[in-house]
Amino acid sequence: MWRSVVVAAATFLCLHVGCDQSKDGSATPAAAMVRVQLNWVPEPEFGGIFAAQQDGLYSAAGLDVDIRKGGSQVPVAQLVASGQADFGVMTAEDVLTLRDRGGDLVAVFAIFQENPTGFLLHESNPITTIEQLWTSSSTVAVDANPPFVRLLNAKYGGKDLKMVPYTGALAGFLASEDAVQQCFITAEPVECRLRGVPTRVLSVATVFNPYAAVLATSAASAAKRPQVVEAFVRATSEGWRRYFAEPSKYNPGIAALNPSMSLEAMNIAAEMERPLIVPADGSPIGSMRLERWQQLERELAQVGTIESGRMPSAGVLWSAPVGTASGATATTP
Amino acid sequence: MSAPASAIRAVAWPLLGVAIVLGVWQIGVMVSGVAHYLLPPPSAIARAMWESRDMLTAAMGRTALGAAIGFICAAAAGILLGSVIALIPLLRRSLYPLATVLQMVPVVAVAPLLQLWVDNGLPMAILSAAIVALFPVLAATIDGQASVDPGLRELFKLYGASPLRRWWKLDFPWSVPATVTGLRIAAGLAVIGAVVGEFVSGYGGTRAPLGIVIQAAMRDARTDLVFAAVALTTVVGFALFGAISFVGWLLVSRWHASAVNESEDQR
Repeated sequence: MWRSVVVAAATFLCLHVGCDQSKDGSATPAAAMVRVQLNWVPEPEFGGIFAAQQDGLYSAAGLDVDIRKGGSQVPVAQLVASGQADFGVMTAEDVLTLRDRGGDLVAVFAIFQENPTGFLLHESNPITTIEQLWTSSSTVAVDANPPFVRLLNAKYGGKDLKMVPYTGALAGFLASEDAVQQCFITAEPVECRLRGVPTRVLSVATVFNPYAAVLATSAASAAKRPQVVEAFVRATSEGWRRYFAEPSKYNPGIAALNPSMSLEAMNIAAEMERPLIVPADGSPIGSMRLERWQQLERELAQVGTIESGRMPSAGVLWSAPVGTASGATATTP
Repeated sequence: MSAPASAIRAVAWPLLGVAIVLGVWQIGVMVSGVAHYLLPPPSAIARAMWESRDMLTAAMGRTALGAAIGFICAAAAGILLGSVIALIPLLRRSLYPLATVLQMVPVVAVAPLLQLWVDNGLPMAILSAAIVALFPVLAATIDGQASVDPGLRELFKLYGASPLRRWWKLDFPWSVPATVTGLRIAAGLAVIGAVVGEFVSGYGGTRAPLGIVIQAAMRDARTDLVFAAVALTTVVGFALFGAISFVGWLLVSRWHASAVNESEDQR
């Protein structure tokens, strides 16, 4: 009688507190499933996430992390807000835009402190500034009407500019000396350099500089599993520290997942992205300040991406609830 | 039944079907409380369509132009090539399989390549539309002309008609109903082809066609606008399909069994 009561109680505890019965009968904490949706294919811009995965930092923190690669057409913000992914890498603009539409996203970690978006031109192109580009009649491959394009249109007009879709591919750029395309400063320019194609990059950060590659989760999910968010952020942060200590150790693993970018390019990209990711003021990697979100909100409202007055930046920053011990290991809900 | 009553019935049933689907959709979204950025109700889509009517109308015009020119090119090339291939048995054996390969090539996969060869904007939409619309016209023309009654062929031979004269007087008219069927299929495909071309190289900003409007609205999490633009692509498809059906009806209604039987059924 007592024996069956004990077994029933143990079963109940395991089901509700989250335990696995291992083969030898001992109880071990079950890892919490975490689906991370990237917004691009595996590249050094996600180096810290892959380093944490490769070094087992996530599993040590009680997380079973599944990293899913993305692409230009993957609606990461919607996938996260609807619970189809637990964390997603997206632009800060995506976070505020979806919050404005009713999605309850919260930002937990900003990979890039400086906007890594730029325009890639051949070195022979006489254009040397964004203003010159935006007042020219060039054909530019760029994302379909993102906020930074609207800001540039508002500032410089851009009436004669011919904008075509940016696909991330280099073939069109390499085929024409006049070609101009949007780029990720640490990706396409590096590929061109390795192919011996001299280029010039015009950084968008000079006119529009929000956080980029922001890790966000849904507010509901964060409230339900604060320890998981805490553990994920902590492990990711440590992953970045390790990645920058020795990028060449982790890049082969990333290159194996992305045959379109060479290992050599990844090693160069890792060094190029360091000053864009490591905060200049000495604060930890991933840190965010509310003022920058508020500035972004003003800019998005200015170009009509979001409605002013709805305050989508209020509460955008996730903070660990009181009582969540720093370094707490994750448990299943 | 009188002709007007028959026409009203023909329109009323599909409209009723559409109304039921939209009603269930609207109520479903309202009851389930699903977020509008995931699935907007039809009322929100209609509102987005109305609020952005100027931009959407202009975009629809650009997409319709690309699809229509692509379709016309595909129709002309399909009928011409199909006739030549049907006339010459050697070509039929050697080129027809190649034409089949054309159908198997996913235009989404080759669109980035096409971008290297033609200009951005309208030329790319036209080429992409023409590529996907070509095969149905080609195949229908070849099959139509290959299925000419052998007895009639013998008759033309008996009277010493040249191959070209036989084609003009017998093969081509015989294949018209089949070709019209191919053209109807091609009309819908041309719109898909044009939008795929726009996804790769349509102009943005104030010159955006529907393909770019869809991409921009998706980026802005404006799902209502995405649905509105998609709905308008189907309007373009319907318009092309309707135009071809009307032309086809004009060409075959007086003599071909398919049209004659249809009017008998309605009586």
